[in-house]
Amino acid sequence: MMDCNQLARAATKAGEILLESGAETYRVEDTMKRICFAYGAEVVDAYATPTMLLISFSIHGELCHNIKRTQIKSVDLSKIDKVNDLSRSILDSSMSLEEFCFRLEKINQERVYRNWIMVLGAAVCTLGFAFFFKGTLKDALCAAVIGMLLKLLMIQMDRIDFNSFFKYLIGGAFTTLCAIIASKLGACHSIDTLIISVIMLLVPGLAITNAIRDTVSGDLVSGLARTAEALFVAVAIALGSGLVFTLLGGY
Amino acid sequence: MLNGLGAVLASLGFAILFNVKGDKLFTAAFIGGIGGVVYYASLYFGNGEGLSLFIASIIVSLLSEIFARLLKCPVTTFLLCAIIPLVPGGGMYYTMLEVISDNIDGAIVLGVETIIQACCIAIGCILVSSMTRIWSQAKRRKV
Repeated sequence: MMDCNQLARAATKAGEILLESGAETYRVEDTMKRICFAYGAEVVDAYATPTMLLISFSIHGELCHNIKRTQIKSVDLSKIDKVNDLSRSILDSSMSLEEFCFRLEKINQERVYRNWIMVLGAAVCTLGFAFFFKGTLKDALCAAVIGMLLKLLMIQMDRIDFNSFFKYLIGGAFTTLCAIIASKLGACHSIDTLIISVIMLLVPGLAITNAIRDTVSGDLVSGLARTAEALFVAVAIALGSGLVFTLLGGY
Repeated sequence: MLNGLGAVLASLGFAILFNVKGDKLFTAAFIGGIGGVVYYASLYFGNGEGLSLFIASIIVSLLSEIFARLLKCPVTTFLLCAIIPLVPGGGMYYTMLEVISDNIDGAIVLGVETIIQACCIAIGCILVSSMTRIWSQAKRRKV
């Protein structure tokens, strides 16, 4: 006899991990449904928005529901990949529910890259963007250094749980300030290229991509919410960087 | 066109930031690089900004869908990292510059241009993901 509560909890947990690592809505709903069906549930309905999960299913004539409030945390594509694989492998390997929960917990506790690799990643990223936007080698090196500083700042701000509008505003302002200092020191060729390459690090790529994919698959509520998030972040970045320019009276 | 290769590094960096691991890291960088080169190649052959972004985003989405099926992992893994270099960050920045220098006309022109460019990318993605959806449904029905 399958434990109804445990199944509801396991399915919601899987959905929560997916949503918090930045999966699309249809993938979250699909995975939760697949898990329930694999453990013998009959009628399954799952609903996900960027901030909430709902699941309802019946098993052996018993009706079961669960609601979960979620927060969007850090983007972690490898977690999405693993949870997706795990949910697909239930049927093939006839895994018990306990085993499934155990593996899910293991995936959830997996470490992301260490901070210094993240900072290095940011440097590689901004270096690439400087070349992409037709910058010189000097611009690229400058962008890499500022990119590293910006990532360090963002990691610190994540730690003290800043609200996201303020976080991106400060990010934009910090980038512009650094770029102006760099150009005053004569370390870069074009200040515009420098700022654009570093600011690309803050661009809400996940929100944009997911907004598009959610809208296509008909999840309009999530699509609109994510579009709003993308606009919100874009405005915050522009505001932060504009603020510094205005305060310093142009450049 | 060589500038397009900068997109390889950019995508690689984003893949690291998004915690992609192993060989998928380099696949994402590879797709991003192709997107960048296609974009600059299209500009070089005299196509407009919007059309170039449209073509590049179609290529990137298509490659992401193909590699996601080959390597058995979610499409987002590649699409997310590879599409970011195409996002019109420059347009956003110059619009902001026009706004703070009190040149509202210029800001509106650049702002609308930026929005159109973003739409071009979105339409490219939508086109490919709708097509693959139709294709996979047709395949399922046959089986």
